[in-house]
Amino acid sequence: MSLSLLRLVIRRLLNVVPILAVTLAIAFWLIQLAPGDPYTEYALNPDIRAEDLERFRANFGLDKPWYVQFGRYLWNAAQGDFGFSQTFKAPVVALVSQRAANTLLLSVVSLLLAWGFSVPAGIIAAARQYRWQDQSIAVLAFFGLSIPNFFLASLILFAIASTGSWLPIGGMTSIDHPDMTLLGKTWDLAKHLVVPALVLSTAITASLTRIMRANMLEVLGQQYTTTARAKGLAERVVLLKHALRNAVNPMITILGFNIGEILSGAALVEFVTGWPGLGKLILAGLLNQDPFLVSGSVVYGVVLLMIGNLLADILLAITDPRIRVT
Amino acid sequence: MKRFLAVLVVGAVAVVAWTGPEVEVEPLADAEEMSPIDLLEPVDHSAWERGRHGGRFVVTNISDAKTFNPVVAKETSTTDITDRMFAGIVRRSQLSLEWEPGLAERWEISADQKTITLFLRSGLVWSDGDPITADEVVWSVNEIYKNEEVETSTRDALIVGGEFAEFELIDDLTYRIVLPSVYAGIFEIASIGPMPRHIFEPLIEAEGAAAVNSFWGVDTDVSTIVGNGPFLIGEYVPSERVVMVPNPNYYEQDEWGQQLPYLDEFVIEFVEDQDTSLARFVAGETDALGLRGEDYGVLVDKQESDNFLIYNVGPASSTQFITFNQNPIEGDEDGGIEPPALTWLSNKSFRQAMAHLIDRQTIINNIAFGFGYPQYSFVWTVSPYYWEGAADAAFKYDPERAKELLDSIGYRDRDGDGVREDPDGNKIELILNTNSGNDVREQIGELFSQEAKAVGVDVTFKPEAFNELVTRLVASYDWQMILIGLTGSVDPVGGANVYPSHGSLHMIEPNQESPRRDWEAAVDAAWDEANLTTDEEQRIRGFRKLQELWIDEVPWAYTFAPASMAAVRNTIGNVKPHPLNGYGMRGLADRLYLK
Repeated sequence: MSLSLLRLVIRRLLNVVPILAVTLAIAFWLIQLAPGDPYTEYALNPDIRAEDLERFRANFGLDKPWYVQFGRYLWNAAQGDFGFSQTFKAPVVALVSQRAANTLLLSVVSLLLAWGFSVPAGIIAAARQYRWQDQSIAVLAFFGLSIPNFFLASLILFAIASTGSWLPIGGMTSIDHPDMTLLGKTWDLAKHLVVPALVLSTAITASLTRIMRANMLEVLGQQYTTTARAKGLAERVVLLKHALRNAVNPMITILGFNIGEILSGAALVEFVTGWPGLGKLILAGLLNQDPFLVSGSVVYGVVLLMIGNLLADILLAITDPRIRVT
Repeated sequence: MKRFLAVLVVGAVAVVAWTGPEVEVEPLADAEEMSPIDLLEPVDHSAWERGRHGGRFVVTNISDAKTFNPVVAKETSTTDITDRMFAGIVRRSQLSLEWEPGLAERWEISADQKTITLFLRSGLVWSDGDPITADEVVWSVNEIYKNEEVETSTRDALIVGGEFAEFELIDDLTYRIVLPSVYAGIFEIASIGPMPRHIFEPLIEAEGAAAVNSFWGVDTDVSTIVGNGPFLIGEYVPSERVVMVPNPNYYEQDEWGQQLPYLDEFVIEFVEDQDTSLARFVAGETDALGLRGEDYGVLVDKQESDNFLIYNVGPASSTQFITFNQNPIEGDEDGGIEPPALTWLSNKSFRQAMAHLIDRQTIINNIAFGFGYPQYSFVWTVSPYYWEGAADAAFKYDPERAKELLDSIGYRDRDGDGVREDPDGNKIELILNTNSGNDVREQIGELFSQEAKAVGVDVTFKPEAFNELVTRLVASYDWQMILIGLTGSVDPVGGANVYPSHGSLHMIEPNQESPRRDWEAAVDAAWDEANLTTDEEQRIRGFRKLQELWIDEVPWAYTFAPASMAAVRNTIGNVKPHPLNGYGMRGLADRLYLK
């Protein structure tokens, strides 16, 4: 890693701190705006006295204004203590780490799927512009763009359920998972991944394919492509060596955005397909108005997003020597 | 992440808009048709079948476990699990719902009815082999349940008329509970069981009693959790499943001397929603499913090919009702409502007219797909305290009678715009709230609003977020009519916070120091008559009076009780659920077996 790259990494990591503080303040304030707190749902439970609820609230500091709660939270977070979830009666760090890896796995597989499909598809569509290959890829892309994720996921799950359940209906592992061999576990996981990963990747696959096609078309119209062709190079070499390398750079820039898109999309897809990731946890936190649980998940999401963007920048610097990172 | 939040917010708005109150419910002309409930398989509660060991039983649950600590467990998704891990000292029989021995082999009640002596079985041990003693019960009650720092709802159960019940040790296996006064809920108190002292005492000494709140949370290594119930947790995968395995040290054997439970594995899979539960059952991944009315049509033709039956478990014990705020604004602190709405809602004839507008049969036919029972009383119809006369005494759907009642109190449409005015000339315009996201309530509210408009009372129906609604009900008291529900049980003794006028959930005007209205004084007296005694006849009499008053005064007007239904594979034996929290398919897991 060159010195300038190292500087970039350090500066980006330092940026995380103020960004986190601002996002967290917004999260705290938004939760405060909604009426109620983690104990409100128990107010209609005839078995719990109102006085007891008040005491639980005070024990937890929920009777203080939001900025006091927030200040206290920041102070503790700076020391590595991200608070305690009132909903799950457990430290937020433990809850987030139980699920973070699952979300990461789903996101990475979806990204790989999206890229694995869209780059070749974009090349083919550009090389065969206006022919049937291009047309059918366009139809697929518009289908992917227009159908909402959660709807597609429910649709696929019901289709599977009513046609003999050849794939698992949601979840991440089978009941027998702990007793399986390593190979069996991987296969089990892969089967459970199919639906959520496919659904999560559809929307970005579609847009990536369109962008890849446009990039390729632009590059194919450049003079250096004409030169390459005039040199008598095979069309395959022109496409894959000369055109692709130039066309793929904007895609890497988009990768940073894709990571954000995948993370937000994952929440919905996780919910519909029962994938035990962060999305379900943060939703539970929001529904129960559990400030520390939501904040902890926000911290994780922001950090992941910033790392993703950083990776995209580094990748870009590597693939395109013209780009200088400062 | 901001983007993610935005997606969530937009999603939530879209969902709210999508399930909004634009539901047209057509009243059904021909209400007297055969109920589809009669087509379901009845549940036989007569006796247990002899089971055999082995096998796995899988069900789904909509909500993840929140903790494995029974002390702080609150909602059913959690107690469904902890109830299997911890046995009661006494318990209600799954078959008869009568109290029967649990960890205690017998009990004695003193002549003055204030003391119950409990005799534990000898040789009881925790799942880690430590003995269970009477001292442990007394210690748990005094040091854990009565401790203010511990977030437990059991504390409330220990309080009788403002004072704690006292637990006194007699010997290793015997202790007694002394109540401050005679109280019908004596068995509810007696059912409170011990926590393992050898684990909780060092915890409290080291970290204080508040440490109990986070102990045995969902981040715990489940193999360290010690129980005394039929099951232990074998495996927990967050937001995926919990696998429960038999506790080898559980005390109970069946009538043929076989160790209980029969199952090798009892699995609860956590899913997103009822639709996923349905899909999993149809796909054959689960063995039982609690049905909604709309699921019946999907499943009915599959019973033979997919080898299951749909059982009629009975009317749900929960209540769904419309309540009328009569809490006046007084002083600065106390919230409430003002005239004219207060005047209308405080008028008994007006409330009775409103009760005449609840079209229970249409609700059942069109909203519950036929799978429901009309509800007239807060007491569960299966309970021995249900007053059989409730159905006759209650105000039934009768818009003409509602119009007469409104006319009789001078609420007439004077300017011909279709909306009645009170004698002071105020247009009768009211708001009915409920919690959004509950489809059934949203449709009931819409139907009620249509019916009210038809007789000239302009009811605007406004579903809102659950927490917002609850804040109105228990804190700001700023509401006019609310459609809401409460969970019920066999014995309404648990409603001390609800029916008497001092109760915090006495919704029409909670927390009254002394009853403001004469009928509330009568309700309070009937409540005491029914509950400050253990005499069954007096209890039945007291609850009858209470139900008569409640029906005639209409603080709340009831709607319907959904029929509780369960689809269960024919390979499963001992299918004897009740429509009660803790007594459904999960509650009888220790007796379920594979045929």
